[in-house]
Formats: sequence, C-alpha cells, structure tokens
Amino acid sequence: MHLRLALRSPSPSASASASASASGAPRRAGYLAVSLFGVGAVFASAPAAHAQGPAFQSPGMPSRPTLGQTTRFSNESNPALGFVIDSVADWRDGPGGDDGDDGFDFSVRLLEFNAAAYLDPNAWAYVVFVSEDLEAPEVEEAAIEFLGFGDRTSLKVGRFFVDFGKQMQQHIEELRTVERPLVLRTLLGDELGGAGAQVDWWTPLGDKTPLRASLGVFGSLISDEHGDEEGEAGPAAESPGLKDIDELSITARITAMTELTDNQTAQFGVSARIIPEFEFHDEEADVEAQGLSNNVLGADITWGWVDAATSREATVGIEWLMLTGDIAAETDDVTDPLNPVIAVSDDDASGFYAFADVGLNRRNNVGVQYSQVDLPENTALEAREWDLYWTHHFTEFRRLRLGVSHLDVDEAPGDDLRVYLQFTAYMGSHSHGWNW
Amino acid sequence: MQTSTTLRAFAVQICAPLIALAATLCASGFAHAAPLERLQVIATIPDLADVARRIGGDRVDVRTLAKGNENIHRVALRPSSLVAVGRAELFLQVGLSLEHAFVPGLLEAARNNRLQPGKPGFVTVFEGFEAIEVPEDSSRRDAADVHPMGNPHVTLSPDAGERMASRILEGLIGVDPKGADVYRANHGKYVVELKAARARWAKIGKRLEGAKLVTYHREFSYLARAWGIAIVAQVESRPGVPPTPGHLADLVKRIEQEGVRAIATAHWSNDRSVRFLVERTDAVALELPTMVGASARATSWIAMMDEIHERLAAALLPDWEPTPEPADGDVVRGTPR
Repeated sequence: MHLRLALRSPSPSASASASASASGAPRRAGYLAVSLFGVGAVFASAPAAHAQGPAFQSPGMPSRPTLGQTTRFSNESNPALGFVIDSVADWRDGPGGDDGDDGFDFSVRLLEFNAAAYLDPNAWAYVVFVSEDLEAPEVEEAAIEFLGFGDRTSLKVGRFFVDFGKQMQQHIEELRTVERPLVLRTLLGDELGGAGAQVDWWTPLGDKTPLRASLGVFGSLISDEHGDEEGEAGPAAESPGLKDIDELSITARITAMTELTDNQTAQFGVSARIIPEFEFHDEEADVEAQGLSNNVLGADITWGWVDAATSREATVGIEWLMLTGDIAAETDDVTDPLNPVIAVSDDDASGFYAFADVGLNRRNNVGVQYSQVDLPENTALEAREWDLYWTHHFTEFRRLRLGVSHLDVDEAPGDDLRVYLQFTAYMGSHSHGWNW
Repeated sequence: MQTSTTLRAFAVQICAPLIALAATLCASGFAHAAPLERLQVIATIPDLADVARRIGGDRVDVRTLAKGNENIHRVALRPSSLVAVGRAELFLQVGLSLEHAFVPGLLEAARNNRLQPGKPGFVTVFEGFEAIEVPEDSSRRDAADVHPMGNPHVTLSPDAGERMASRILEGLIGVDPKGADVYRANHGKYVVELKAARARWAKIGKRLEGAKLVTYHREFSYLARAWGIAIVAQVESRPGVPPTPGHLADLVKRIEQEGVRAIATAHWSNDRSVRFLVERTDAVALELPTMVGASARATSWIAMMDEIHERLAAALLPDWEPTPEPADGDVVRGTPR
C-alpha cells in the first residue's frame, strides 16, 4: 500500500501524450483554437506595436514591422536584469529521533535570475529562472502582461504564479518565513504556477477602498513542488493533455483593502482554485484513476498599522483554505496483487495560518506564525507548525533572518524542530510592485 | 474529520463576519466618494501639492502621497493612494529618482494610462535639472541609496519655488487648457510671493555664509550650497546606510575640531545616533522640516523655508535675533492649506 499527498506530480507535460486520445484531439484542439482566438483578437485590436526585424525579406519569408531600433549587436534595449541568492544555514532535530534527520546543514537553497522589459508602450514581459540547491535552472515564470485595454485592466499570458490569497504570488525567498505556510504548501503546493491567461481588474469603491478581481484560465494547475518528490512511489496527480474548454483549470480572486484610519489598513479577500479534470497515475503499478476534480477555496483578512514617521509597523492576518473533491489517492496492491487499483479519497481538508509581524524600525522585523491543516490522505489527522523569526535588513538588497520552526504531524514518530539563518542577497533590478 | 469539522465551523465564523465587514466598508466607501468636478491632481510630496494648490486654485483637487514627516525614501502608501492615482488626471513628481522607491510600483498597480511617463498627465518637475552630487558611478559599493542623477532633495533649495511653479503651470495647462488663464494669473501672484520670500531668505543666508553644519542625510545640500554653509559631514556613513560605531567616533572628533554647532536632521532621522553625538559634543540636534507639513509651522512651502532659515540662523549664529511672527493673513508667509 502506498500513500501519497494529493497533487504531487511529475511535470504536467509528461502526461500530455498519454491522455490525448486520437479521436478527441481535433475537437479539443478546436476548443483551444477558439480560446486562443479570443486572446489573439484582443491583442490584434490593440494599437500597433513594432518589434525589430529586417527591413527587407525575400518573398515568402516571414516579415515583421520594423523601426530599426536595434541591431544584432546593439544592447541599448536590453532588459533589466536581476539575481537573487537565497542561502540557508540550519540545524534540525528531525522526526526520526537519534537515528533520524538531525544535524547541521548549509545550502544555497535558491538562485534566481530575472529579466524584465517593456516590449512596447502597451505590454511588458518578464522571465524568472530558478535553480534550487544548485541544480539545473528551471523556468519558474515567463509571461507577458498587456496593459492596453484602458484603465485598470491587464491581461497576463504565459506561465506565472497564480493569484490566490496573500502569499501564493510570491517567490519563496520573499516570504516572511523560510518556508511557505504549512496549509498553503499542503493544499496548494510549495509554489503554484501554471501556463495560461489571467485578466486582472480593479476599481475604486469610494476614496479609500480599491477592489480588485482576477480570473485566470490555465492548462494545468497541478502543483510543481519544490524539493525532490519525484522519486516517491505511489499515485501522482497528473493533468490530461489536450482538454475540453470546461476542463481547463481556473483561478479567481476578489479582494478589497481599505483605510480604517490614517495609519491603519485592512484587506479582505476570497480566492478559488478549480481543477475540473485530472487523474492519479501510479507509474510503478501501471494503474490510473481518471475523471477526478478538486477545488481549493480560501479567505483572508489582514490588518496593518504603520507609523509613517518612524517606519514602525504591525501586521496581523489570517488565511483559511479548504480543499474539496478528490484530494488524495493510494494504490491498493494488497487486496488483489495482480490487479492493483487506485483508491481515491473524496473528502474535504481544511486549514489556516495566522501571523503577527512587528516592524520595530525600518530595518528590523520580528514575528510569529502558526499554521494548521488536515492531512489530505487522512483528514482525521492534522499537522501544526509554529514559526518565530527576526529579520534584519542591512539594506534594501541584503537581508538576514534568524528563525525557529516547529512542525508536528499526528502519528509521526516525532516533531521536526528547525533553527535557521537565512541570508538573502539581491543583485541588480528587483521589484514586485503591489501584491494584493 | 472532527478537526476538519471544527475548522469548517471556524471558517464560517471567520468568513461570514469578514464578508459582512467588507460589504459595510465598501458601502461606506461609496457613501464618501468625493465629487470629481475638479481636476484631479496627485503630487508625490506635499511641497509639490502646495504649489499645485496655489496655481490650480479652485479648479483643482490636489492630493499628496507622502506625508510631511515621512522619510521620502520609504513612503508608506495606502489604499487611498491607489484610488487617487487611479482617478488622477495629472501626476506630479520631483524626479531625479527621489521617488523611485514607491512611484513605479504604484503607477504599475494603478494602470492609469493618462499618467504613464511620456503622457501630458505625467510631469517630472525637475526633469532636466542640473543636480549636484552626481555620483561618478552608480555602484552600490558607494551607497545603499544611490541616485544616479544626483542629489534629489532639490525642493529644499531656496531657488526651487519658481522651478516648481513654472513646471506645474505647464502641467496644469497641458491637461486642462481651458483653465490656462486662471492658472497663469495664480502663477503670477505666487511668483511675486516667491521673489519676496527669496529676498528674505537671502538676507539670512548672507549671514550664514561660512557656518558649519553636520547633516544626517544629504537633504540640505542645495540650501547649504546656495548660502555658502559648510556641511562638514553626514551622520549616515553612506547615503541610506546607518552610521557605524567607527563613523560615529570619527564624527565626534570632527564636530569638536570644526566647531560645528548643529546637527540637522529630519523627523525620521532624529534617532539615537544623533543623540549619541549631541551627548558627546557641544552641537545641538536641529530637527528641521524637510517637507511641507513636517512641522506645525510648515503649512506651505514658503512657510517651511522660512522656518528652516530662521531655525538654522538661531542654531548657527550666536547673535541671531528672531524676527517677530507675522500677523495673521500675511500672505508673504505662504497660504496655509
């Protein structure tokens, strides 16, 4: 019997060919074409933009409008570049007791390379490559954001982190704590990026309350995990290849923030992530369960106070999530060893995290965070995690964090205590704008 | 499952009030929506806002992003900042990368196409200005707070008023040509006040020539240059980097050697390092307004500059006698907001 947390999978592309039947492919391609046509029509209706290209092309060769702004060797129009080094030195007292995962370690946990540039007055693009633990870099985000619709609306197309709650848009090194809160990484994944399109719009409600809404459509939102989970046995969640339009994954978020007083702000938000079609596949046992779906709903509330003159600030917040539907699976190869089957758990798992962060001055923050979640593979069990941290910003580009993290999982052989120093350095351009 | 049920009940208890509160706040927001008949102007700092109000008069509704007592390099934006920028028809910034910590992200979030750089609604008041203290290179080896185009604290120059007034006049006419006559008339009156104030400051400045000053940050460089005040050193070891113990020890020696009488700070920078120096030397801490609204008296740009000059004189000149406070309605001192 193998047990595995929900939605941990190899890359979605690995399953693409396996799920596309020959007869269904043209019809699905038609749906996709219609979808893409809509997006394309939007771009086509925008004001003309010009990219570099040759002034003359021989007949029959592709040509593009050209203004001659750049040559093969010019570097005036290069994008802004940035690098991030996120390193962690830690001591862990793992769940295995004296024989378990105890001891010290030091790792360059993450190297990030990002580039961004305006393509023309109506669109900008960015790409983020990430190398974890000095392994080969992967494209974490690569997207184009179109701003030419008019006021307060944008369309992002490409691969990017989904708009869910307060923390899922952020890269892991940007978080308050060394890891993403337990409930998020359990129910949504360490990081949740997908290839798709997202419309984002906001509007003022009075003078002090902006409201924002987003709707995203993705080919797949099966979580990409940080860390090496691919070697684990058991069923893994996979997205089918070509899909009907109603099988595309969806995210949505509505949030509003408002000024309670001159120095107090509150934000409320609700989020959803919908996967209408996926499958569990156990490669080792060569079995799969198809026609599965699950949803994650979330609600968040955050309150912040800031003294503008001294840069002292305080923030408290809570975010609650619920995963519903087909949330976990295990391969039953005991009942009939010759014909193993995947047993899918149709259940609900929920959890939350809450935090309090105090900015003592413009360089020092201290905080505490607590997270609790039902385990999807057995919702009668739960896990709890505490984080305490002190963050010191030497400058805008150099940050040191000292933290303690404690993880306690029901029926696990022991707790996991971690004391860490996290050092993060930013080189070159780095900015996130408003994340709300 | 029991835990899950408990959590679900918890969620209901959290979510229901949350949604109700959100609805109430949204309704409240609608109820307090401001009328938008006037030209909506956003200024990054209160100094620009003050000048815009003087020139725009009744035709404009001016809001500012930074508060007077804030560190301009670390402005706490609020939801109303986003709303205001989303609605604005004219955006005024100083430029010289003074606002680079908060303006680009705000403009990106607001997605107000009228305010994008290059549009008439986006005005950089000191664009093309020949700044001082331009770094030889923009390496962060030299500072954490790097301004490649030079010192951006130009609004504290006694000569900044006319520049602000003329560029804001151009900006207002650019987006609201129908109000050109009103704007020009208001501008003319304001320039008369500026010239009178400039003459008043010059009298004080003449006496300040050669006086020695330590400043926390390089905010008063333009003013010191205008009047020949010698800035001996900064409390910051490098722009944006707090002083190290070694730097403070050096400062104590220099203050004593040079006979510095005052350490000029802003509200945000009047910290324990300044107290350290004051306790070990004969210099006094001189907390000066660096933006309009930073002190009770600094209700306008002219009033702020009056206060700065008079308090500098009081701190640096042993024989300084303050002039009596003006009578109410003395417009030469600037018009309160």
